[in-house]
Amino acid sequence: MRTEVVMPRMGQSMEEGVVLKWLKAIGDKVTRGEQLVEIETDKATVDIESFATGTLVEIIVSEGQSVAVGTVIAIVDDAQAVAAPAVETRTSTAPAAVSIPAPVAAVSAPTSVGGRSKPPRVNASPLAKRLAFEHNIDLFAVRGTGPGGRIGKEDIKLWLGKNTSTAQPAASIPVAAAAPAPTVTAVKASNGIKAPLSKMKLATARRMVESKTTAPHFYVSMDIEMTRALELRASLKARGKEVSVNDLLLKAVALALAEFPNLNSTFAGDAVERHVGINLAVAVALGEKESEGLLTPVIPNCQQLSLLEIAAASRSAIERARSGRLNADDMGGGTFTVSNLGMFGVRSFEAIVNTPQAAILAVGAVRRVPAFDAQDRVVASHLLTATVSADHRVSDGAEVARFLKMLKGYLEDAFVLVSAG
Amino acid sequence: MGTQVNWLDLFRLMVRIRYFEQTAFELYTGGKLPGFLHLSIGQEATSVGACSALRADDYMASTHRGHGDTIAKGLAVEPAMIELFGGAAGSCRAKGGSMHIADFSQGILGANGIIGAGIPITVGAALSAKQRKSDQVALCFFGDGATGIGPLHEGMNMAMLWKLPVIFVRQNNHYAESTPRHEYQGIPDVVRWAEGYGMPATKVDGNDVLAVYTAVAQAAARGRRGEGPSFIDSETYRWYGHNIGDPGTARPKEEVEMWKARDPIARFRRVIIEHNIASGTDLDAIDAEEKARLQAAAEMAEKEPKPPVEAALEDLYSDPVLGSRAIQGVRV
Amino acid sequence: MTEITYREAIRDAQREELERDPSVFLIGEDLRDPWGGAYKTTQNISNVVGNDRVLNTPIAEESIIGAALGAALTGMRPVAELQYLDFVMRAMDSVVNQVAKVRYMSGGQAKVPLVIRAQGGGGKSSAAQHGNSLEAWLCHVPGLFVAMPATPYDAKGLLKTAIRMDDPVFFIEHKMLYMTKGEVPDGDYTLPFGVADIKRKGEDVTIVATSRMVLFALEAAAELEKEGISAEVIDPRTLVPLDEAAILESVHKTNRLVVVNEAVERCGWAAEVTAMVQKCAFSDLDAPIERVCSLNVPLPFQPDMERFVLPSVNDIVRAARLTLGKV
Repeated sequence: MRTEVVMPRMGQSMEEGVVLKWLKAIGDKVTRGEQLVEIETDKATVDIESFATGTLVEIIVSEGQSVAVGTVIAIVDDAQAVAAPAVETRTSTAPAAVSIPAPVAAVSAPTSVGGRSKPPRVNASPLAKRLAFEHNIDLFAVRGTGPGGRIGKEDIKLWLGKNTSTAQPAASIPVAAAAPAPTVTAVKASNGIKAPLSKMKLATARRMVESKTTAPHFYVSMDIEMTRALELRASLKARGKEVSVNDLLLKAVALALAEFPNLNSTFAGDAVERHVGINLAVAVALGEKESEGLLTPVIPNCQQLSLLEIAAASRSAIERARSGRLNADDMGGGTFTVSNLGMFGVRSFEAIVNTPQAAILAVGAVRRVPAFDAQDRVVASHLLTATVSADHRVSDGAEVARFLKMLKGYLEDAFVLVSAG
Repeated sequence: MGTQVNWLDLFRLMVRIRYFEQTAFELYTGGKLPGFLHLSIGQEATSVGACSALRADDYMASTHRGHGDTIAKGLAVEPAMIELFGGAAGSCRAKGGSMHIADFSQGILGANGIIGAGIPITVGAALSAKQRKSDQVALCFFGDGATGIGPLHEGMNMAMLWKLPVIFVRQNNHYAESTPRHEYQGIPDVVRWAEGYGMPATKVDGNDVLAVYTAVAQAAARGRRGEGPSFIDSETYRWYGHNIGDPGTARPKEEVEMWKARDPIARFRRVIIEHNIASGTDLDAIDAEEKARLQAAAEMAEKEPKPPVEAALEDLYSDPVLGSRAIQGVRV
Repeated sequence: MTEITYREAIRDAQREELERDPSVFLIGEDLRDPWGGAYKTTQNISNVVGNDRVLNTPIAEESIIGAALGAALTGMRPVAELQYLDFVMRAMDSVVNQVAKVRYMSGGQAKVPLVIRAQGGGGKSSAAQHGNSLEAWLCHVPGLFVAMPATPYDAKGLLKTAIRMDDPVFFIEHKMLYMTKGEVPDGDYTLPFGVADIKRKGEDVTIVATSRMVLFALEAAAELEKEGISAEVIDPRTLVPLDEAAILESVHKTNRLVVVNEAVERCGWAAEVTAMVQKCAFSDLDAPIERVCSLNVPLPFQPDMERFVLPSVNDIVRAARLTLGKV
């Protein structure tokens, strides 16, 4: 029977060994327990004994070679027929598989505005975030009174207390059968119908009041010559790519904000939190005639998006806003808002800052007016008036003016909007 | 157990231990056994002589080098072999391994990975016997490596103080891992310590199985009579290093060879033949039986299934409900 | 019901269990009458049950616990006393490597019906080596149960349960609680492990406290009430197993948590509760969890310094207010 001699595991940590010296040669007799080969481990040199009696018939690993533990290094043959040992098969009962119940999963916290690289974080306790999610509250609209401006349960409760609808539809008022008829006080002077404000409008109302009463607004306007921008738009259209004037504005704003991080920030009490991502909120007015509310879906990380990508995102967001299909992800994390009334022919207007954002850009229509060129000749010009409303706690006139100048520069050198990534 | 012990039983047990250890050695160096391996080859006479002088209901605690002691006290080799492989049907359900192998049904309080830890446990078992007014005795094996450890001295003092039936058996193989006596022992002969603690103390040739048997039998009788503890210093030698991985640099090769020539099994074989208890052929037959048994055990044990990993969560507490909570953390 | 001291509760529990079960015996230093234990928790026991069931030992903690283990493995139900929790360090191998693990390592063969009692804590100028709070070390060892009662009622009921359990229990008393008084039922009663006691109901903040700190927490709650803050005080009573559900339910209600534990803050038991609650009740938290523990220094000898290092009622009040955003 041929017995394999293997590189033995001479220690818990041994992985390989070196054959140093064969103490027997091929053809030599060897008895069990006799030293057969000298090996080197990571720790020491040891003599290895043979486990079999017989003749050394093969040396497979020669001196100087290093092999892994378990490698066959030689063969000893006792030249006898192999006798199969009687093996008693024992039925062993493995213990029953134990199923360990998983520990109770944590009460699941609401998923944060996810999937986007670093939207601005709101300072709110985990509980406040859960409550905001449950009540569909935009945390950026809630003022925090905790340490560092942290929003807590009380702040949410306060907010809810001021924003719950007070009107009740008649059908839901239970009438007790035997109750006496309630005395109806005559309603004086009002010939109107009291239309209850929707939750969204209430939220907007609350936000606007808060913004106007806490953020000292100031306004800076600038006219921007849009001829080249319109040329760019036409050029893209000729190649089958549709971009709106608003898309051009968004791209230019993103580029300009990259140079003015102070305007891409949120006010946080005693500090201004500058955001890495430029998440542009687009004001979308709902309703064909009467206002049915205002939504500001967010296009995140515009600093990473090309003009065409911004156009696609904007188109999608506006469409979803109009059809009521915006989700929580769309709504949060805005750092700067752009509001456009140009489609109505408006010349200019001043928007209200979407606190805690620092500023908002309001633009009117592009109007065709005569202007003078460098040689004092009259030329046709396409002017757009851009007005920035800003929070004077964060910024000042000079900074906003410089921002507008930069914005103007990008729009007037419009082809940079496609080449600047 | 009287003075008439079956010499062939002693012989068989020693041979069984020898083959168990050699088989374990082959398996381990073949990479089949996880963990550590501390062989007791060469010390069979101490293990067998001592444990054979005990009753099945007497207690015994051993060391990290515990295969010989535990097999001598009644640990079955098949479950023990499975345990070395980490099989589900192992003596300790794969939870203990070589260094912690135990069979409480045989009075084996376990091999122990901590030097000297078995000593207070043995004292406690003897205390328990006394409290229950039982004539059980408790034997503790420890190596010469435990010579300086606190619990040895605490244990000797306590056993003497309460007159407990403890048998302290020092397996003196002359080396504490790599350290020889003159580097760990303050006086040449620890029997003097034991005497200093007040108990009868004797030194025996640990490779003479009958001498060990006699000494332990006397100590057990003393213990059962309520006369308190005894100390036996049993001089022996381990053929292999401290564990597999020991580079073999601690002991001179000639010293190892000299002790191998004093093989307790070969020696007892001669004694049996000289006294006409059995013939060489009879002894060869016993040898062959044990060899075959161990070979079969190894082949069988290798094929035994391992427990599911979730079994790691079992056998910690007796109380299943509170135990499950203590392990899991959050209550379901 | 009778009003007794915490010390008497411990003593009575031991004596009653000794009388009830002949396999119970006490083992430790200075236990026998007339001394009756360093803190008199075994007074009037050996007089009643005899010296052979109340063993005075040499000073040899490793072997006291080791021998108690040996006895527990072989048919007895010993109650071992470590005179000071600090002395467990002399016995750590016996406690951690032997007592806690022998059942596991033997694959379930061994049964260890052993109780180890010890008293810890500061407040008496016992200084750095005699006032340690080491419960975190013991909770960290799988295989032990750990109880830490704060009142005579809890102490007696839990100790009786511990003695009747078949698993090793580390029973941690407090030297400053021994003379405190409370009502206990006449007659036999036990208390379950793993069930916390809400010592005071409240709405605004949850305070989880152990041992002597339970009394401090109740004082703090009374203080907080004066400024309109309603604190709920939870006494876990056993640290392993822990009644996580009670704590989580409370935090779900109050949204704020303060954990008070006398041990040194770093890596102490309070950190374990904090980790558990932030994982399982994250969205219930309106503020970060506050820990009130000893400063990360040994206990100094001088009384004012010791008071400064140990947690105080005022620390608990401040921590509670902090969770409510008040400074």
